[in-house]
Amino acid sequence: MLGIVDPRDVPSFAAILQAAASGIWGGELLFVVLATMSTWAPGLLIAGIAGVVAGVSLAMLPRLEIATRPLLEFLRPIPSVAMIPVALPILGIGLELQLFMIAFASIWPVLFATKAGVESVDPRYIETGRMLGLSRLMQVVRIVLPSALPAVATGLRTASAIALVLAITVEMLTGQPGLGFYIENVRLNGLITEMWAAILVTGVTGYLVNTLFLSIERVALPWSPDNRDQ
Amino acid sequence: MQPIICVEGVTKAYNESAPILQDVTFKVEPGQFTAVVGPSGCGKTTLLRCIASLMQPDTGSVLHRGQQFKEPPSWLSIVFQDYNRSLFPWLTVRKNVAFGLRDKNGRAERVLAALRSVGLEHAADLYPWQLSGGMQQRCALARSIVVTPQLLLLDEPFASVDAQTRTDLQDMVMDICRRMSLSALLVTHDIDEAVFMADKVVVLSTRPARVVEEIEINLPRSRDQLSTKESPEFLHLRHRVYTLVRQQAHKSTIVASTDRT
Repeated sequence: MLGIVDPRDVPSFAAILQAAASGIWGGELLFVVLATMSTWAPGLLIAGIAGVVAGVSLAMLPRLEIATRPLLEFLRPIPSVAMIPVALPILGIGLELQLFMIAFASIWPVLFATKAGVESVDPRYIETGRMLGLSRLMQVVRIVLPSALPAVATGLRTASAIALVLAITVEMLTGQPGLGFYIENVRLNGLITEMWAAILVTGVTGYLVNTLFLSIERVALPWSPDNRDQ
Repeated sequence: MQPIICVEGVTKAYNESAPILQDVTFKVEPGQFTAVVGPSGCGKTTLLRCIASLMQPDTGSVLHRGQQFKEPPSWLSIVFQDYNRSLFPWLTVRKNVAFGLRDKNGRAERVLAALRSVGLEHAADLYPWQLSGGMQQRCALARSIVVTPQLLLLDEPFASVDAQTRTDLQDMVMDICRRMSLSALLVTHDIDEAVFMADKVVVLSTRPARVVEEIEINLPRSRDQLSTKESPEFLHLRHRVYTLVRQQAHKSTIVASTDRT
């Protein structure tokens, strides 16, 4: 080899695969993944609900949008991890902090995709609703929301990946159980093969989450222009 | 009997610009098929939107049996030109047709009857985007008649389909109007279509649109794409309407060229 990397830091791929497999089947790794997913899921759910509500409201109420624009433009570029020192003394180390961080980071794609989806509803759809005698509320429920669903789904899928990153990062920084803490822990103990195995499992988890969301979209929104030919 | 629609002195302008409609006045009698023609861009669609109460005229009024109305009423249905923008892609054909029905009673039967009358009962569970353009427009037609309206507004409904489909749709619409005793108001730029389908053709001037002439079409009601269109009466009426529209179009070119100098 070139001697740049100490071979002890880079175990063989076969060894990594073996460690990952034995970690998942009968080892600690499965529980570690489940621990991460158990904060990821509620965190993403909060971001999803809040993002959809905020996105719809901002798109439907131009005055609210103008009033909150400076605040949103201020909050959005802040790296989520930079919020930890602010949130830590308020929320303390624990589930609340994890959920807050996950939701704070992953709300943005949901919010902006929903807002764009609602804003781009074809005015002819609304006109058709008016001709068929729908009230303003029913126009929103039966026309605006369904028509924005593909955009919301795309936002949620993007958010699901961000939520996973944040779940792991917060575990690393605060020592809560999960993939992040596990990776830190095995690294500090010199278990390099286990560390690589955990990183591999993290990547596979992210891939599976994305695949899951794509499959749900295909089944739930067969009419979406992205799914029509499949 | 009071007219289904009475358009009285309707004027409409978009934000301070020159008016689109100027003192437009005409009537649609019950059971009558009326066509509105005019040079392209003269404001036909704006007129239709005023009649549908999707927008309010600046002055003048639109009366239904002598009464004013503010919101799009239930006795009136509209078929737009761009069917792919007015059918909801997230609903199947059946649900698109059922969309406007508020009454739950007999809903399935009514939807099926409407689908049958446009020959789409076999496509009820498909999505609109899985259908051809002509089938989509038939779906839009089914949705507009399922509510059993008194007046059908047709905004260039055959303009986006091929020639063969267009004549089929024309026959279908005339047949439905006759069977349901519907009044219809067709906006079109196609003079042949207007004369072929209508009992009365209203010719609009170039912008600002006003009524140049109303021409009664005294052809027998059972009309046929071949024999009616070859009859001397049809050709004569077509010639008259064509001349009027061309005069208007010609005027607008003269106005445009004097504007430039």
